Amino acid sequence: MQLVNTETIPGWNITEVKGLVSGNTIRAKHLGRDIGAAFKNMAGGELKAYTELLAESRAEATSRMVAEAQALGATAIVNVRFTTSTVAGGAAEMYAYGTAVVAVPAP
Amino acid sequence: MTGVLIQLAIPLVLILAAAGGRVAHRRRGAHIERRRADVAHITLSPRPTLPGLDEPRHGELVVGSVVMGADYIRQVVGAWRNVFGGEIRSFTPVLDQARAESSLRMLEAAHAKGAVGVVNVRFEAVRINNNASELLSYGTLVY
Repeated sequence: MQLVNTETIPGWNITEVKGLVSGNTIRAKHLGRDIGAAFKNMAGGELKAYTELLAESRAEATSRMVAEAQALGATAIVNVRFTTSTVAGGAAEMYAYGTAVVAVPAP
Repeated sequence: MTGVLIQLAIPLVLILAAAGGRVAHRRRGAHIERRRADVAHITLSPRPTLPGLDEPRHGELVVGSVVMGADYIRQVVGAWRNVFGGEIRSFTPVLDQARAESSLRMLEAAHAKGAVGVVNVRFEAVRINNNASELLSYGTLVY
């Protein structure tokens, strides 16, 4: 499965559009991590626990989107976009979406 | 006696947090500068194509992200600025550095895959809590 955030894939022709596919996940932070992060906040800098948490959730949302595209028989997803929003106290939603297409190598 | 100690301890902790935060900020900046040299050959573009690079290749996304917070003193200064308005200068360098870090991570991932460019680059910032924000960079690899 090819994933790009451009409208086309250089060297490939898009022969069929399967439609919009998306994947999401909502993750809450672990309380222990949250307390650790509160202390870290005093000194500033990177909050590694959060960086990892968000990266994991983004990968999860992406794989759900890919699964949806595979079920439609697509071979690539173009125009992939990521959005994140914080919902209800401390939980974050990761959302990935794109256009599922069938792409073949250009002659 | 204990009361006096506690009264002395609070400003001391704040001063230490401020000093520590400054030093750590500067150290992160130097670290970013050093790593930048390794990925200097990779072209970044917000446009969808790079002229001269259009051979058939496998399309691939690359992502870099970091969650960064401001130290306590910057937060206090920022809160004051909220009263009078204007640019919050204490936050500007923090976000600037966090974005540099996140795009550098994206570039390092691109470098590891042997790419020569990242096109259609997008930057995003999301507030995680009162103080911390996630800076996200992503794009499509070009070989």
